[in-house]
Amino acid sequence: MLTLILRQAALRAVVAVPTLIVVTCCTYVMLFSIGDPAAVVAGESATPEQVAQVRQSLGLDRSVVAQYLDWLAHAVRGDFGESLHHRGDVLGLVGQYLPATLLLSFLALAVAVLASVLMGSAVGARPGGLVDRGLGAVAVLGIAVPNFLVGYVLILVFSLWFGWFPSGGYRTPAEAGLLTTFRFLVLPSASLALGLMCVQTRTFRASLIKEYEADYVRTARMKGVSPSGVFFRHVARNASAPWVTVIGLEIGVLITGALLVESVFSIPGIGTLTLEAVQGQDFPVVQALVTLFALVILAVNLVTDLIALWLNPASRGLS
Amino acid sequence: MTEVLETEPVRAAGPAEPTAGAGRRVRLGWPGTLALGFVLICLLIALLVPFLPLAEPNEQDLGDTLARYSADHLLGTDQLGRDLLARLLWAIRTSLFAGLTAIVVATLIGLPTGMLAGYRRGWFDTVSARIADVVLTVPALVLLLTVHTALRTGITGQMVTLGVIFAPRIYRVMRAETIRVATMPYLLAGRMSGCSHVRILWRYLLPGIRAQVRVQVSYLLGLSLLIEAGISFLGVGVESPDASLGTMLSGAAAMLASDARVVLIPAAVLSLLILSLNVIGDIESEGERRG
Amino acid sequence: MASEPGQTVLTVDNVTVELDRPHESTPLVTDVSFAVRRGEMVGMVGESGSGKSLTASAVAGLLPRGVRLARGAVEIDGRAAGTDATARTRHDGVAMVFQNPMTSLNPSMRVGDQVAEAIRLRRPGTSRRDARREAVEVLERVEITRPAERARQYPFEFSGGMRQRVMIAISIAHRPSVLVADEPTTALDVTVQRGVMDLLDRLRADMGLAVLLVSHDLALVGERCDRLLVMYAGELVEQGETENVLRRPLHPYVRALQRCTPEHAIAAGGLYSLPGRVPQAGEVRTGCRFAARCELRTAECDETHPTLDAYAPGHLVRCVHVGRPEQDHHHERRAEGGV
Repeated sequence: MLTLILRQAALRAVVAVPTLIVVTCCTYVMLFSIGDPAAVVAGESATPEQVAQVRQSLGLDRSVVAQYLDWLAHAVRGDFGESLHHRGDVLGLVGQYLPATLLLSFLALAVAVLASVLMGSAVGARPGGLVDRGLGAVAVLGIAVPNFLVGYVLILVFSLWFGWFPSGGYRTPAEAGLLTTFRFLVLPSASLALGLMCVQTRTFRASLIKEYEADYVRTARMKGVSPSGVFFRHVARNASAPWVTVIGLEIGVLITGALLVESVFSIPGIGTLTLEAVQGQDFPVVQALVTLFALVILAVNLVTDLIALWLNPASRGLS
Repeated sequence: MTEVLETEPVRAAGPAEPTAGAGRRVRLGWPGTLALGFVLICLLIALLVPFLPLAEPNEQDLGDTLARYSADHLLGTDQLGRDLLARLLWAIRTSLFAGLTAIVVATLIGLPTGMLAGYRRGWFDTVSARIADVVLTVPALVLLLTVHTALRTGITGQMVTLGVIFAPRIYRVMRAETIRVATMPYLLAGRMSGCSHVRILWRYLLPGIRAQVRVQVSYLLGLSLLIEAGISFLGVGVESPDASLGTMLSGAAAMLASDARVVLIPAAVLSLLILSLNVIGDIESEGERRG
Repeated sequence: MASEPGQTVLTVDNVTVELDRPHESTPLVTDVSFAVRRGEMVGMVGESGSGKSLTASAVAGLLPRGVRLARGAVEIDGRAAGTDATARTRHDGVAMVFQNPMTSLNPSMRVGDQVAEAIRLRRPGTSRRDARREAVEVLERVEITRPAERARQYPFEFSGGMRQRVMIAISIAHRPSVLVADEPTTALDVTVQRGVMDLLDRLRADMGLAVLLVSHDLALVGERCDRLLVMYAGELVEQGETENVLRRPLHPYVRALQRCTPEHAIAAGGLYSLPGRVPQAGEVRTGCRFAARCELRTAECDETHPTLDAYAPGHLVRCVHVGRPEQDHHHERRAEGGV
């Protein structure tokens, strides 16, 4: 089984490489061929001659294919070029902004995963009850409300009314200790987690209900497996596969959400960096960020697919 | 001697197979009715807002900021003294039109390509599926921001781009649906009675997959509204001072402390719209539930 | 189990199954009584909706949600089973094989572990390793080749017939005295059917299992079973030795059924079709439940509900006409029909 999964992993990783190349290539063409970085560097008041000069000095007068190959050759070695506005290389810049986003996303993901398993189990084992219908309504609402608006409501209630948490800003663990960092991240991660949590709860509930109706549950009862045994040894595992797959699919939503939530709570993370780079037309940074996002999404999908494969061996029969 | 005294009911592929041309009635239920009603009212507002006797939405009155509800300003005024009701209704128009632009573009690209890929298969299917894969690798918002970085397009351009970004989602669903429907007997019957491919696609396939088109359109319209709000909120969508549901929320964090109403009213309208569209999508998919 | 050959191991006494609703009673199975002896295979036949599967589930204590055991008792090895009114606690000493082997096994659990789980639940002290070893033995017993290797595989790596063998292995891992087989071969190819039925036959002989075989296939039960139980609309209409029920059917329903077969059609020069349909559960009717479709219907049929009476020793039938001259005349004519 392990070798099978490893083989699948290798196969999927190989397939992901062309996708990544096409994504970065298209982005590159969009930014450096259709867009005009030289004009940005030279400034608004620059004469056409000055712009041409900048273009030449940045190597942007070469063919776009040559430029992209050059970028790719550097990128695989971890060199994403230099920011047009900030001092220093892009990778260092990303590294500077990444920890806050990582912490935020992990907190949100952890909350969403834990809560959805608990709530999904609570209602999925006995569907149709009052709790089930109540949670169902809340879930529909939680999916619909954009997470940056959830952020506003949380700020209003827990920051302005109760004063429990700061309404924005961020301190790194190194500056102020882990507890303070955590205090700054409670509201942002809660607003980021809500939507994912609702989607996940619904998915888990639905697959639990489906699995409970499956014939093998009757077989387990026939063997004399206790109700808790039926849940933990039989149903839960089979019900988890779609739920894990959905985590993979929702990772893009999580990234989008992080972008907006960071803006609401003024957290200096990747979202803030992205917005800055977009507004300032910092082409190398945008290019690096798109690469990063694509990489993360491909990696997360790979991992979740492999977990789903491990959970549900029958799907191996299909592949 | 095989005596079978039980006539097992023939298990159909699904309880609700769409039949050619027959638009099945979908039971709305009260949440569906409310949702549909709300969306229709918003659409009506979007169409009629230029003819309504409203205050000028961008007109500032710095002497009358954050006013409470009054006869002059039914919803009061915002931090710059602009009439909140006028801004809200214009924002509904701007946001809905933006969302619809994206949906129209996405459908115009995704529906025919998806149907063609699912119907003809072959190289076109392979190539278009790869393209869809690549586009779907990057979150819509990130792609949109990238394009905006290079091209500095306005909101209409952004929404057209968003339509292109959404096209693979429609393409995928339509392709899968077409493949499903294309293997059904009624389609084969059409082929055998000598219908042309165009006629098959138009008269046989489209009605079969129509329900899924509605589902996708309502979900994606909700998502478009969310993304319009997102980019306008980030300051790269609808330009201030024009009102959209996104710009009305932009920079609103500061307003929470002084007057949360200015934020909460557009936030509620946006959330309700997305909620309603999701509910409508859910209903359709329940009517279409298979297996 | 310590039962003697021929000793009764399963007694079903007036079992009534109803929809599990608070203020009404919609009977799905009404007053079903029968017994099965050790080493005996008894067939239960009927159309869909006749209540045969529900009766089987009630015997095993595996009634689905939404229905309840309203009255009656199930006794296994002389001990009352199913004191729980919902009959949703599995009965000791009884195992069940289900219709669809493709879905009856847990798709994400190794086949050997699924058998071992049954063994460990039966004897809680058993170590994981011992249970696994025993599971391989049980798999060998149901004639799965290379059992040690197959035990480590997942259900999707098994064919339908092989999965049904695994299902049987899980059932007999309990060492039950009664095996309820609910349409065990219906989902299988005809060629595979025979193998699975042969296996059940052999296990019955070797282990002295009492088998209740639920099926809609008259030919299959006729070939395999010692006795037959015929159900119609939730009640037993005829019961007796296979030979007697098939060669000298008493109930008009059973006779009509035999006329529906292709073999009879060849003899009679046309296929007979039984008019009407099985009454729905909860359809209120006095009188005989088969009356509406019966060619012998008289006013009496609509007024009195016939009881299940012995026509001959061990041959029971639920019809007011049985034993009357015109009835017997009719019967003789049918017998000449060449069945």
